[in-house]
Amino acid sequence: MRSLIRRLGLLLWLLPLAGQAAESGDPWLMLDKANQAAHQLNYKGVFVYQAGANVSSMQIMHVNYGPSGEFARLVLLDGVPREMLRQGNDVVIYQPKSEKVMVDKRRLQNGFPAVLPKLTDDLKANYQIKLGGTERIGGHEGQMVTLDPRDKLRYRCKLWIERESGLLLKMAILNDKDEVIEQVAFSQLMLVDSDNSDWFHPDIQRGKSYVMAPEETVTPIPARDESWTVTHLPPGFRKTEQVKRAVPGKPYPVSHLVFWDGLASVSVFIEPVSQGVSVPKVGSFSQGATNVLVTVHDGHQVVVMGEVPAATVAQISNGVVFNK
Amino acid sequence: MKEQLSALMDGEMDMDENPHLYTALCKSDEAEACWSTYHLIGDVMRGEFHAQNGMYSKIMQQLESEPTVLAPRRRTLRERLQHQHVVPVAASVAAVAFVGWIVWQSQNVGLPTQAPAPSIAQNTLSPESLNNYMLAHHEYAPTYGMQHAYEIQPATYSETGN
Repeated sequence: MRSLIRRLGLLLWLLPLAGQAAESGDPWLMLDKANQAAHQLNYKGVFVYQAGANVSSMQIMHVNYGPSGEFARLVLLDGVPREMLRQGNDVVIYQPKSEKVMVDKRRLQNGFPAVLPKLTDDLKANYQIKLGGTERIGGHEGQMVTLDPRDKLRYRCKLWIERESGLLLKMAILNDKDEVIEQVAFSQLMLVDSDNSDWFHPDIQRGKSYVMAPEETVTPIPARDESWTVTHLPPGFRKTEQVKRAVPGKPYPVSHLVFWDGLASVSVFIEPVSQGVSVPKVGSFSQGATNVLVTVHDGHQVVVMGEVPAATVAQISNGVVFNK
Repeated sequence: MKEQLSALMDGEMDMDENPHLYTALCKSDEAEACWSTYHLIGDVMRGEFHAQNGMYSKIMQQLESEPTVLAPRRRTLRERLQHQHVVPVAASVAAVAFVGWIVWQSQNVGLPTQAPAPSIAQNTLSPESLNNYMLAHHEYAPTYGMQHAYEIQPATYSETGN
């Protein structure tokens, strides 16, 4: 019900905004329109995702049924024929494995093309927006908009937005040398009408057994129990969440802190090092725009990850303090 | 049909031996209702059911119009699991697992086995070992990149093997 009210509120917002964006050419309004178009419009297409050496393409069908919500079906076109059915943030993933199909239920916050943030003071304080030229992407005219960070603590983000519908056609994340480190772009895209929802089902493989993975449970921690603090937080980042939650494969609930600058997010996971079981592995790696650093503080393993430069991840990691 | 659903909710009926029950629910071309049904049934099985948005009454209305299917009573999941000497915890996991989706199969629903405890760790950090954290990051943090989230596999998959 709450989401319905939010959605209606969004619709009321959307109508005047769409007009203004087209008329004024205000890039912030274009960004806002792109954010809303990805949720509101019905579309299907294929997008290609690249992070480092990893390239994969994905078929997407997305329909918004109004009060019933948003539905999407995604099919991975390369490698294992994995399928994702998504309703709002709930995702069910089907993955064939030998004679079985593993069914994995997850939640995801964002998924292309619905990856853009709402307009917030944080976003505007940390990034400058610039209007670029137009470029043809997947058969559509894309208006380029650049989010330039005001410092080196975050990445640059280029966006190509379809001029009429406002759909995000392409996104590229660039490092401080202006090299693309991660990008995703539609190679085909069309708006569709959908009266029925016949398309919203997995491709059933008869003769295989469907095995569902166990679900995770989440336990919020009372605020007074917060046992960890991050000091000397990089400017522009704000803590948006601090909970203890169960993470699959972990014997105890793990402290999870989330920091956000209006666009990029960083997670900090802290778990006690189990004595005699394992020596925690420490080190760092990156996947596309995501940097990961694992260290040990006060007998705890601290994992910091986010789509920010390695130096930002390191600064957050260094600031982790146990409240004794 | 309605009786069957009630029996299912009472844990008296084995859904994986009655695939028509769930697929009948999905026959109308309203996938969203079907999806909600899946969640609803899962909630009911976990004892977390609250009437939401009239979903329950909608399902019941739909079932009223369905013909009653006469079928011999199957052995329930509980009985089957007891027969196989599986611990009750596993039974509850299995109940939640197959009620939602394991409707196309008539048998051989396997439970994912528990991941073995990690042995002495190597000193090198492997990205795969952090997959569960990657997934949690995507689940709870407003990420804007990382579309490969769909491709990340829980670490337990690789550990349990086939």
